[in-house]
Amino acid sequence: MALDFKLPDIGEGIAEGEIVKWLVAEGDTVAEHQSVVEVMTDKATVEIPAPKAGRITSIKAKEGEVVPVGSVIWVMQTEGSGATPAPAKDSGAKPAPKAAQKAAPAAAPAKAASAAPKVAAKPAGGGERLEFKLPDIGEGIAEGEIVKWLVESGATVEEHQAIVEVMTDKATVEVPAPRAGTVVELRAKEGEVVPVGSVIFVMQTASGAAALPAHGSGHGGGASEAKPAAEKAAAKEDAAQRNGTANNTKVLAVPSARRVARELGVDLARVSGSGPNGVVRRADVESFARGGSRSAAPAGAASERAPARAPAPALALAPTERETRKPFRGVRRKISEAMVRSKFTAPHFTVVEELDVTDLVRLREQGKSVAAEQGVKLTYMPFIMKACALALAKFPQLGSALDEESQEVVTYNYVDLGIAMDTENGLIVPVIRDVQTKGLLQLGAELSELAERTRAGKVRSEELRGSTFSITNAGNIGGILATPIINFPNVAILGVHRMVKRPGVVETPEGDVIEVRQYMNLSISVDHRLVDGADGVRFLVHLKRLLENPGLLSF
Amino acid sequence: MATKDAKPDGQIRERYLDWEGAPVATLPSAGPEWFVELYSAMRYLRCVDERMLKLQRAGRVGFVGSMLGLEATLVGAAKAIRVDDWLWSGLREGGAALLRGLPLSEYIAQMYCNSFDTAKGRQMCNHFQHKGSHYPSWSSVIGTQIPHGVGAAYAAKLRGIPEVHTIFFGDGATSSNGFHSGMNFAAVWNAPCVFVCVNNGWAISVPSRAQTASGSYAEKAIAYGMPGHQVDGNDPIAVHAALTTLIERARAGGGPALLELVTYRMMGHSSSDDPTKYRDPKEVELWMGRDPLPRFARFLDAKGWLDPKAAERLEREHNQTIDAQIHVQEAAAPMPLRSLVEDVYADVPLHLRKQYNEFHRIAERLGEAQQGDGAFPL
Amino acid sequence: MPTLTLVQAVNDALKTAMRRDKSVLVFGQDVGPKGGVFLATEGLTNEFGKERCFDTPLSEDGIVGAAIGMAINGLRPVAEIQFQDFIFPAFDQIVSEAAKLRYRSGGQYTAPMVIRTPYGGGIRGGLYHSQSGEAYFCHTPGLKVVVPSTPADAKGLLLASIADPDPVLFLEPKALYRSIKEEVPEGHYTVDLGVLRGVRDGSDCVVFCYGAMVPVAVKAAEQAAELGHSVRVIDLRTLLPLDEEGVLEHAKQVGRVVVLHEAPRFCGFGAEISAMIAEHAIEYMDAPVVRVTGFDTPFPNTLEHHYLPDARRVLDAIERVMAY
Repeated sequence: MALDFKLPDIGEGIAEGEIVKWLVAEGDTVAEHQSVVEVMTDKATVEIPAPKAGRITSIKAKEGEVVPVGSVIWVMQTEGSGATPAPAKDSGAKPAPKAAQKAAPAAAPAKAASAAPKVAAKPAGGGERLEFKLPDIGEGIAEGEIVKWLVESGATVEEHQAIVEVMTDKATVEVPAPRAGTVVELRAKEGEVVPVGSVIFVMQTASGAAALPAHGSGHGGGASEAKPAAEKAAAKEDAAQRNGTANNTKVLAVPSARRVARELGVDLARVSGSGPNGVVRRADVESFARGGSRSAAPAGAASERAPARAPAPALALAPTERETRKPFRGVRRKISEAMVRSKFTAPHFTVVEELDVTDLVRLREQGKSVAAEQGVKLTYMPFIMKACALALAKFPQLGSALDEESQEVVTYNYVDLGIAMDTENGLIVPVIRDVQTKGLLQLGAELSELAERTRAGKVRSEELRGSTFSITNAGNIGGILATPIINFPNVAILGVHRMVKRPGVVETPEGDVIEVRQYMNLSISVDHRLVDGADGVRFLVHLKRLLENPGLLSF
Repeated sequence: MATKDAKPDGQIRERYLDWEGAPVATLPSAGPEWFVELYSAMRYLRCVDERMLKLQRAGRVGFVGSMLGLEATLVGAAKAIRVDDWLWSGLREGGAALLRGLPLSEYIAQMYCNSFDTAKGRQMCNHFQHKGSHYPSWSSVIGTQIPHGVGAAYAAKLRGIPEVHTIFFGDGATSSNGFHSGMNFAAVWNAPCVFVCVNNGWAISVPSRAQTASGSYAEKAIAYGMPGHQVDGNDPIAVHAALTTLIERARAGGGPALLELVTYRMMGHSSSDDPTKYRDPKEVELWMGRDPLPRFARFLDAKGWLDPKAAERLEREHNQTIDAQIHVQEAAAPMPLRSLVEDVYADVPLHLRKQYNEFHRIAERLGEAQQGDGAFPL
Repeated sequence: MPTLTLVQAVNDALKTAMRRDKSVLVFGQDVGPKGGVFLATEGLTNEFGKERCFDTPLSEDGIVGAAIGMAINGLRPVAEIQFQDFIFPAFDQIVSEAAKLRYRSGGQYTAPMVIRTPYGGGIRGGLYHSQSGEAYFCHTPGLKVVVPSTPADAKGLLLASIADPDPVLFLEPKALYRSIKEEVPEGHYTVDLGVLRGVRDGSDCVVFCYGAMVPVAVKAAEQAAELGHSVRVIDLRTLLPLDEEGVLEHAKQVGRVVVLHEAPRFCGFGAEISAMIAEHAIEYMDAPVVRVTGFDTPFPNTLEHHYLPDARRVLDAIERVMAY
């Protein structure tokens, strides 16, 4: 086999040697250990022997030439097929891949951007390469999960055509193409969580396509084209966006406070620090999470500027067959944070009342067909919502909130109802506005439309904010009773439970009779900081009155 | 006993042969085969040395501290130091160790610093050890082994073990702390040890005249309160006789002694050194004429004990054995990566397991980790 | 149980080890009939003979070098270096030989031995009888470095060091030799190397210290308690290999750390503690790690008590981390 003999480091750390004299000629046969060449180094002149017996097939350096350690100075054909090449000492190790590495960048064109190898040939007519970066599709979101690619690489797409479904802390949205063209590369896998600003797909725009949208992403080639002003503007925009995402002003906080803030989902910028120079301490974050919040975000919705990273698991256990692990993030984490905040901040108490809703059932049966004519599916919820709006008018303290900063109790003179909805991703609480102004049919229509969008993950983040009171309806699943957790910073939440038929005693002028009646439990959890027990009970009793006598709902 | 022979270079030394190989004293009573054996051992060491230099020049091993010219000291000593005695050494005593029981395979494995090396490739080339023949690991720091040998000799004495510790070092080491404290402690403790100064004329590029103002290295012994002997190091009979005498003296409770073996380092300090830069070629030429091998061959020849054909055949066999062993060593498996952190302590402590695991994660990603290189449990 | 001073506990440990194991021997300068300049070896020559406890010539290099040879050849030497300040002639033997022997020989040769030496200030000893050189040695893989702070620990740690298969540098806080007394168990027992000791519990701040600084930390912690700060004190005991897990655990639990040693600050042992916390526990920290140390100067004589950290300086550091 052929053996490349490389100049070894024959001193301790020499770098090169001068070929003084070849002691053999090409074609000579040599024995193992036979001297082949005389080499002079910084330290000494030495004879270098053959590492194997064989025939010198090629001499690679001239006498007088100075060659670096590790370069091939001769090639020989060694005897016997079983012969192993001399093990390379470190100095001479693996020059071939090294050389290849060296060659590669040299061969690559110097101009970088336009030469990315994955780009297909430019379509005639001169479109341009466009790298689409995941935009901040919420307010201050930091990352998004690629749920589903709606096109394949190579697809021709229209401007605004949906390309990918992305789920963020706040919502799942379809991200459209910024321009018409061809998608040439999908950069992220489904299920992957990518930070805002990273390129998720690359497209080759169609010629003559409109200019980039303002929030657009990086440019490809054509760097020297005549629109420096536009580019500058885009760069500025990018920078601004980056700054926005990174929450430009650096909050001074001790490291442990940063960790705890991350774990509790607290935005450090909102915590006032008690340390020197306003440094946020761990205790500040903890007390903020316990009750210092002035966040207006309802349960299930994202607070602004969510921390970017999920907390590391306490122990880095590898998944086993007995368990599966997935990152604690997105909606699930938001729910967790909201629940913890609510429970830690608001001292809850819960009251339960049983309602005889036989009349309500009857009324709803009657209303159903009327509603159906208008394309509305009428459930019990509009009745309950309406009853809440009326009861809140009578007991406004249940539709209030505490402004911690100003230390004021805010009472809302309108009713924006948060309706807790069970979705695949977990609990989401979209809001129906101004319930006090709306009729049953309108509420029914809005509710079913909102429910549909919520379950499809298409609800907008502004629809998740600003409720004044919330309702959670677990009745259609089961359970006779629950103690709901308040949708902070609301001060009350109504729990609606399953309807059951039971024999009931009905007072009639003829005396008490037993009839088949429909019953339902309502529970209400209230924040004892603002609402006392008696008020909670009064509110519930009033609701009972309204719903047991649904005719009153129209008064 | 050997004669003290005054020579033109002014040194006085005990010897049995003159430079031509002619006996100048009554030879020890031994059969011809004993003398022939001295000669073939010297030739064997020369074969090994030449091979190692070849390997170094071809880049197959990293470093050689040649023993060329020192064969008589090594062979004479190896035959004097019993297998139960100890050999504490410096750079150039590997040949003696080889003759005392260090297997050739381990010798070459150490030159390759490969996974067969008993030192697990931790030392640079030419730093041998062999536990079975009491040849401890030594460091490249000059003279540090001297107090070790003394302490070990004291231990032998305290434990009642009749072993003697021979402690080798070069002429340069006589200037080190270890020489002074070792000589001093040994004499104070009357430790069963023999100090052997292999005076090969040069400490890398520094000649003896720049190393000491003493008349000889041997005479330094007097100040410590022990006898000092200067012996012709190129006469294996003299080396053997002197060392045997001093070893048995120590064993009998007579205490330590210093033996200076006068010889000459015919090569550079190491394979990285060019001695022509600092040595007078005439001096080298002079000592080439005193090369212990031809000198002893002449002695044997005069006695009619030399069989040149047998010697040549033996040399061919030696070279074949050495080459075969070289090829075995070159096929050694890669060094296990875990050995990076093993043997620092008796057990691998947590911080080293962590350091290794961190490294191993990278090695694994780069595909450099082999079977058995796995992470430590933490 | 007898009540012993720290130096008596060391003496007790040596006697216990020598009675138990004939291969244990003690030597150094003035350790024989005199019993050592601090009397740590008092009575040993008398009891065990001059073969097993004896004076050596005045050469630290020789003492440690010979100890290595003894260890290689079956003995368990306990060498004394009279003052840690005098250890540097033996630095080569400790660092290049004892600490590397197992590694360089692939485990074929080992040096199970102990080098005992009094270290630290507080005895009006000036530059050369006061130094704390632990950092030099903690940078030496293969060596173990142990520093006791109580009589009972001194005995148990020394017996563990003598039994240890690796070379141990045993630094004795000479300022504590006679200043503290406590009950010390009789007979043979060991205190595990590589395990720190909780001295005083507290939940606001933790002071990591060792040797002669332990009582200083305790005093500061008591003063801090009066100011309403609950201060934990941890005696590291073994500096190499350090109980890293323990250090990190305490740092994480408390979140505020002061590191205390009398050696100079720059590249001192406290730097390692601080770096370790920065690397592995920063997110648990409520305040920066603060070091209280000697000055980056040679050890002074007249101003020794200003050079040495005292409770006031430690308290100041505690208040600084608490105020952060």
